[in-house]
Amino acid sequence: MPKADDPDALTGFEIELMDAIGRALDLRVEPVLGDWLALVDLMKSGRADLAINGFEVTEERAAEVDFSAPYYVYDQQPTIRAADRARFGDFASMRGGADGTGTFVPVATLNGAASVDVLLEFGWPREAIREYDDGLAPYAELKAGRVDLVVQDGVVAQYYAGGDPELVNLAPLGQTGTYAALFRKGDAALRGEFDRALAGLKSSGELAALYRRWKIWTPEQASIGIVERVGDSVATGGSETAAGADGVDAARAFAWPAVLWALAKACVNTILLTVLAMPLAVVVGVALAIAMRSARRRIAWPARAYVALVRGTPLLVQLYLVYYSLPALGLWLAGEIPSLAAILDVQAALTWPAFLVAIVVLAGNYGAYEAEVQRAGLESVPDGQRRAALALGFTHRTTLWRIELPQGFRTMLPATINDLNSMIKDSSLVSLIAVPELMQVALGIGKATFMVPAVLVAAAAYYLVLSLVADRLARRLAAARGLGIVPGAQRGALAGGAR
Amino acid sequence: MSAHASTDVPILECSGLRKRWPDGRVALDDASLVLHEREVVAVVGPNGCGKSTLLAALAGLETVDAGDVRFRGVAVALPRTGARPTKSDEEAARRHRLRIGVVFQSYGLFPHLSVGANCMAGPRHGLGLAANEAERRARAALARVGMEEVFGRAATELSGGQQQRVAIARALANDPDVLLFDEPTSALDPQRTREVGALVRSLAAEHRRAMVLVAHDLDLVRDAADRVALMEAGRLVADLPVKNFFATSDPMIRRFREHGKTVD
Repeated sequence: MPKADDPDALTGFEIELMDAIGRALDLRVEPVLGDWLALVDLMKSGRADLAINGFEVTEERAAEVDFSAPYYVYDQQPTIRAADRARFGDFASMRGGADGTGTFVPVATLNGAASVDVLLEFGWPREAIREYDDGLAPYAELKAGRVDLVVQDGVVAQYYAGGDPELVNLAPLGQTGTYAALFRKGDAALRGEFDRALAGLKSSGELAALYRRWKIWTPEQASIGIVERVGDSVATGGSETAAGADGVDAARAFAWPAVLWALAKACVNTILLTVLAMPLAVVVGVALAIAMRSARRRIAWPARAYVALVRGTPLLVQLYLVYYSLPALGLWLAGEIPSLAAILDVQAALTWPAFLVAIVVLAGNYGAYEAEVQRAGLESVPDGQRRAALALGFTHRTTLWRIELPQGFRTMLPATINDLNSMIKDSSLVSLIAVPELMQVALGIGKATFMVPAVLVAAAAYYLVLSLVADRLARRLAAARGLGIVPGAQRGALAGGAR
Repeated sequence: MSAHASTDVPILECSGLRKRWPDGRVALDDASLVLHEREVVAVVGPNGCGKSTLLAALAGLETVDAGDVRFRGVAVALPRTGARPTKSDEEAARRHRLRIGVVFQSYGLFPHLSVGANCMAGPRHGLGLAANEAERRARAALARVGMEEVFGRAATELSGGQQQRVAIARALANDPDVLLFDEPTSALDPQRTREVGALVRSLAAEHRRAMVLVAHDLDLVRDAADRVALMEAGRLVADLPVKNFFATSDPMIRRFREHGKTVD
């Protein structure tokens, strides 16, 4: 996760683990961030070589990916509100009492995690289990009183609830499992090296020290061969608090000036996205508008189909498909059609950097809306203008570029400025594909510091300012270039019946 | 009758033009008209008789169902209704339009361009001249209509009369062989009508180029035209020297002169 005071630097015990493995293998580790659910796709598509993020080893997953040797033993950790300690004496009282005839309390957990299966095994009805897309949300729901219990991996519980006086961790459930890194199926060489380095860290005591520093050490770690160096435990124990402050607590340190500065820096990316994508969208829109008005079907129909498709599906879905699914689809296609793979490096062609994908998708999406805007603009130009230009010896093409498009563009300028304004805010959606723009950075800081609402309010304020400034600038620029709104349409009366 | 050129070949003529609107109304019904070098012909007729459509067809701006337009005896490949023109037909039609200047009833100035850019548009993008030559022509044309001082102004800032004079300058800047006026004064108030009327009269008096003048204003017709053609329901029903037109006792022409109608 990004650090609160420096969103470009990442922190977390797995980042430190990867750094240690990198040192052991003499490799540079370059973290690639992604949505938790999308990490597997990231790796399959080749944007990353391995994925490591508390992935529980399960048989279903082993069919899709290869697992490394386990690097951590987790247990399922129940968490309740501190105020409820008297109400729920033990875990059993939350699942219908000793005889199991009472009610099951509503419980929150991570979407797609092993804890869901554990809860189902303990008899929880599905409707009492709420699943969330990130690890922090369940604890926020618990504090808000929407659920009475959270069950998550001990590591997650320790990180998010460990230091919170409002919450209390009960005894773990004894449902242990292991975390392992994920590799593409058949990538045995890299996996072998990873495992060798991991074994070294386990036996040298380095890994145990790391876990102590992050306050996630448990005795069960010995079961996967993690050794605590004898005599070391006191020393590490002594340095634990200080190191802990560097690790966990530094990530949580919250200071408004630092946060506002980090958000301001993130605005640069938001502005850059809009400044690059919006002119592209206008170009795409003009091209589509011209194509849609063409008398030739094979030009008009594909353009109309594109506009209908793009306007008819959510931008969020388009982003996800292009970024996460297109590479997977391309690789599958290349596997099915070997000749395609021979002429084209599918992987390189489809795994553009997130920022580029963001610009292409934003421009492609807004291009479809701009197509309708520019088409309406072209249709608003009086027929007399076209006739006057033709009468002066203009070709149809010159008439389009010199007379119809400039006038249509001017007429629709308010609508285009409106699209620009919308894009600034819609660019927040590209946080999904881990582009560090305003929304992504705000969420990262919010989750790391447990200050999501405050940081989001700050982010909203930034968006408001950006949108107001953009409106002003666009109008001023338009006025300075003489792009006022066209006054009363002038219609040539020559043979007015002709259309 | 004014000075004809030595040759007998008309500069512009049309014969047998026919056109129906999609709703079935007849626009042109076997319309034929002849225009000689340096001649000014007025086309008059009741509202909706097809005068403007005839003018647009002569200018190569209107598709027709049948008939010919000839420039100096050579047929112009005008687009036919419903047919998609070939590239070379399009280019031929464009070359025809370059020789014909059109002044529209509602001026048709380009609102996004300055007065100067409006007048440079034809030389620049129609004739393909260099910018400095196009500007020289635009300034000369504006000077001819007495509007040289508004070169840099926005076209939309001008009064209606000024806009029409700029529109005339824009047509002149292409140095066309024929000028077509479509009711040049009917959108103007009486004061502006006199201004623009005076300009049309002076252009006609030069007899430098042939002109077709579609007009309601019979005073303007009397002052400017050499010949008057009367149009009725898409065809030309009378064609006589201007003196005869205003002197004849022919009942239909008298009815039109006095009531603006050809039938009761």
